[in-house]
Order: sequence, then C-alpha cells, then structure tokens
Amino acid sequence: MELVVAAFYEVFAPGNLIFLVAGVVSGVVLGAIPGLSATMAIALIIPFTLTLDPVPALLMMTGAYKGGIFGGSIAAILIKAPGTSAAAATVEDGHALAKKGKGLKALKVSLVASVIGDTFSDIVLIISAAQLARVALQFGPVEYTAMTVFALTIVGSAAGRSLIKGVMSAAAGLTLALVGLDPTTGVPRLAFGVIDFYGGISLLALLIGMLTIAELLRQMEQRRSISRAHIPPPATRDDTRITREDAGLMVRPIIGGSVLGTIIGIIPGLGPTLGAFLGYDNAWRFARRPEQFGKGSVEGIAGAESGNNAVSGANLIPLLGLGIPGDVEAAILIGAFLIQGLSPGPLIFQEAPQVVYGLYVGLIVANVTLLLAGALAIRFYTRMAGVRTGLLFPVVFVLAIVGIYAFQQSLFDVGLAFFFGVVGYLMAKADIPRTTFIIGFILGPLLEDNFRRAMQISSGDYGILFSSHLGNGFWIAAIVSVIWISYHRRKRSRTEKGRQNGESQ
Amino acid sequence: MTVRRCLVDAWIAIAIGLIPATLLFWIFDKEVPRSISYDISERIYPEAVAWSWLLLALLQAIVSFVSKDKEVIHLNASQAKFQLLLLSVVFAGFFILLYIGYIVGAMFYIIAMSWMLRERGWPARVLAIAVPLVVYVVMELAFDVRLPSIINT
Repeated sequence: MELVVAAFYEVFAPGNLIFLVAGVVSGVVLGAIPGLSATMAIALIIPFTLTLDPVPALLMMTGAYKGGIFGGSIAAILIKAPGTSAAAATVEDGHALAKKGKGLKALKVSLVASVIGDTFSDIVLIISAAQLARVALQFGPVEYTAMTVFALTIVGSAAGRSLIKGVMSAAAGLTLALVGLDPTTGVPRLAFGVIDFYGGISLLALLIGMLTIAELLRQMEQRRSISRAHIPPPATRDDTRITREDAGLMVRPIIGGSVLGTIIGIIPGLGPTLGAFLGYDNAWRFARRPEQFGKGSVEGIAGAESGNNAVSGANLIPLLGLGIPGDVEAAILIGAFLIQGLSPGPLIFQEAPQVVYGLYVGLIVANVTLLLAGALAIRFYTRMAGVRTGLLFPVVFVLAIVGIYAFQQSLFDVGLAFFFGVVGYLMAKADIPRTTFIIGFILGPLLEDNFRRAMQISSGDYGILFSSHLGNGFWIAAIVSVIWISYHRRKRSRTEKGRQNGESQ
Repeated sequence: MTVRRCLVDAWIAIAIGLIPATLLFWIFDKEVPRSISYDISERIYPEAVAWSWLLLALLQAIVSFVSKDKEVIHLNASQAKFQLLLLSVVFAGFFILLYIGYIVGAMFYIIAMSWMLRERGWPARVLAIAVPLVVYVVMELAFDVRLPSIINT
C-alpha cells in the first residue's frame, strides 16, 4: 500500500505530470500525421528521456504510445489514411461517418472506446503481472530457453505475410545480438576490432534506424498523396457529439472489444491489428444495427478501437512478468527500461517496485489525460491530418539524427542508425518483418544466457532442453501455434484471392 | 517490367542465406573465441543461432522456388531512380555531418528531401534554415548537448 501511495505522489509531482501530458499530446499529434505512427512517436521520444529518472521517462513514453494509437485513428477517420494496420478496421465506418458530416462524432466514439479498452487492459495488467512474475521466478534455464523460443516463434510466425520470413528475421536479430563481449569469458566477439562494437550494437541506433529512418524512407518513396476529400460540416449539434442513443449502442461492442483485445495482448506477437479486427467482428455479430456496418457504424468504430487499444496494456503483462515483449511497441519500452538501467522481467518487482507501481499509476493517469486532452483539443488535432508531409518528413528525419547523437554523442551511432535504416527499408521491400528482427535482438541475451546455463548443467547434452514438463509445454505450444497460425494464414489468403477473383470477374 | 514475386523471394532468401553461411564457415573462425568453459564450447550458441538462420533461409528459398503462386511485382524505372537518389541523399548527408557538421548536414537533408518530395517553395527554404539552428540552440541550452559542428570538430 505504501508503494501505491508513493507511486501516486511520484506521478502527480508537477514535473512528472508535465512529462506525461507532453508524451500524450506529442503522441496524438505525431500519430495523427499520415505516415507517422505511435511506434515512431515513442522511438523519437526515447533519446529525450535519457536525462530523466526512470518513472517520468516511462510515463512520457507510455503517454506517447497511448496518444499515438488514438492519433492514428484521426488520420484513419478524416482522410482514410490509417497510420497503422490496427487502425484499418476503423477506416471504413469512421470515414463513412466523416463523409456524412459526423467526423467529430466518429473521433469522440473512437476516443471513448480507446480509453475504456485501454483502462480495462491496464487493470488486468495491474492484477496479473505480479502473479505471472511470481510463477516465472520458479523457471529454470530450460523453461526460459523454451519460453523464449516459443515467444520468438509465435512473434515471427504472426508478423508479416510469410511464416518462414518472420522466424528467419528473428534468427537474424538473435545473430546480431552476438556482437560485443562474450558474456562468459568477456572476450570480444564479432567486433572486428572496432572498439565501438565491444559494448554491443546500440539498441537506440537499431530502434531509430529500423523504425524511424526506414519508415520515413518508405513513406518518402510512396510520396503519399493525401486525398483531401471534402468533409461536409456537421448539420446538427448531435453530429458533433455522442448522443444517449450512441452511448447505448457503444456499450456492448466496447465490453467485447476490451475483453478480446486484452486476451490477444497477453499472447506475444498477435498484436493490435488482430485485436481491432476481432473487436470489429464481435461488434458486428452482436450488433443492434448490423445494416450500418461499412456505412458509418458507431458500434463498428467502438468495437475496433476498444479491441485495438486493449492490446496495449495487456502487452505489458508478458513484458513485466516474463521480460518478453509482445509487439514492437513493447520492444521499444524494453529498450527504454534497459537504457534506464532496469531489466524488465520477474525480478523487477523485487528490484525496482517503485518504478513498476509508478508505471501502473501512470498508465491509468495517461488514459484520463488522453480523454481530457482529446476532448478539449480534438479540433486542433484534426488539423494535423492535413499537414504537408513533404515538409514534415525531412524535419522528422533531422530530429531522429539529433536524437541518436544526443544519446552518447557519437557519430558512430548515427552511422549505425543510417545502416539499420537502409537495412530496414530493404527488409520492408522484401516483405521481411522488422518487428521480429528487433524482438530477436532484444531477446538474444536472455536466450543465450539461459541456453548456455542449460548446456553447462547437462555438459552439452541437448536432451536437457526437453527434460522439464513446463519446458515441454512451451515447445508443444510453439509447434501448435505455428500450425494454427499457418492454417489461418492460408485460409485468409485463399479468401482474399477468392474475393479478388470475384471482383475482377 | 514484371517478375514473379516467388522468384524474387527465392533469390532474396539465397542472398540472405549467404550471411549466416559466411559467418559459420569463415567469420566465426576469426571472430568468436574457440575456448571451452564449463565443459562446453563458447561457440555452441552462436553456431546454433547461425545454423537456424541458414536453414530457414534455405527453406524459404526452396519454398519460393517450388511455389506456384503467380503474383507479380512491377519494376518501375522511375521508382528505382527515386530510391537510388533517396539513398544517395542519406549517405551524402552523413558525410556532410561527419566532415562539415550538423548544421550544414541538417540543412542539406531538409532541402534535398523536401525538393524530392516536391516541396520547392519558400516554406522548405525557411525550414531548412530555421530547424537546424533552433534544434542546435535547444540541444545546447536545454540538454547540454553540443551537436557536431566545424567549430568543435
């Protein structure tokens, strides 16, 4: 209880609250700009949190994350340009409402559904992460090895269009993590005599290179032409707000979306896109007005947005409980923890409980802030969707360079980020997921440490990896999940092909 | 020009597979210690990871070669030209950062990239001058970080 009270004091300290609000607002602004996303927002913010204490730094980043996800729905609703694939489920109904002069109503439905979905999953996180960590403390090296491989397999197979490419990308990330000093002997490994490599590859250079520079290059290449379709002004006051009738329609889809999104978020790798589409599908199944779907359904927006946002809090459960990031945003947060000198995982509840409780309180306060900041300034944010990206992208590019340089004041890191930027850009061209590469890189040391410890116990006998019931459970789960995901991927690809053939005929 | 996506995937997988192959058969010999500690080789984990990467790349190549998928990719000369120009700007800017400093490098990036994105009016020129200078001053005053410049390199 003392920790909770202390966490409230910490979060509500004026300085920390300012960082939280700054994170939320910058997240919404960046997320609302077509081509930028929540991921990019937090990757850009990390370098500017380095001089902060862990709690305000994490508050600012979680604020930016939550703000960025809502910001993505602004571009999706107003100009039909979803910043992320997760916002794609909102596009049809949100934009249809905007074209009827009900853009503000759509944005408010999205805001309320996002905040409720997010708060629900944060509460589940607060209740369950410590319990999971307690179980994880019983794990030995065999269980950890099996669990990390399970997480990498499921993340790899769920990302992108090809299962093999996803897992291959994770293996490449694990290999990159080998660079640096050997953890047992301290001898340089794959450093090629370059002293800057002795400490390993800079995580910040990798994150900003792969997520910001690569994405900016991709967006610049697309030279996205924003369709400035005419959005008619609202006809009545009801067109700009959530009416009592709308509120009644929103209840069921929000409950369903929040529960489904939270379940999806707990499982590493499945991500907010699946949460959004399951939330949307659930809203359609139990809709009071199914005929409105695709033509501007309040229920559709509420289901998709609550499902999408409920993933974000639940994603932190494996991160805090096991040290395993569920998606790329969680991977960036792991990076932020590591840069602050903290290792997320079961031990963090013993080593830095004040940070964990500060984060818990901060998550809830960030939701309230998002609701207030969203409601008060929604008209301002909508202007962001029409910003001239041709002017903005080069400026963001320069800010990314400054961010990397500021970390260690090293031009070597800037060069490294450019290198990863180009690699990430080429990976996107070749349809190889960058997310799994980054998660592979982050989980590399955890896997190596536990694999080697297991091998040391068995004097090099690989059989030890299959000697524990829990470990075997993870191996079986890895195999089953790969089969399940590839079956669904094949089924979906057949359905899409069938639909394309039908449309062309 | 159009090419089948699966063939492109296969050749990309082979190219990627060359990286772990080079690591396993050449670079590990020189760059990963061979010593034995606690009865196991220091190379056991690096080799396991690189072998997994190599096998997955080979599997991807085989799957792509035998695939009957007819999806095609359209190769466009003007797009390729744009991509090359973009990458050249990135690297040219890096050398300016390295040898001349941040302010000129940042100005070059903003001017060159906004020009490529068809923003060639006065707002781009104003931003190219204002943004690097403002950021330089803010970093120095607020974060105590001096960005590289001719003055201090």
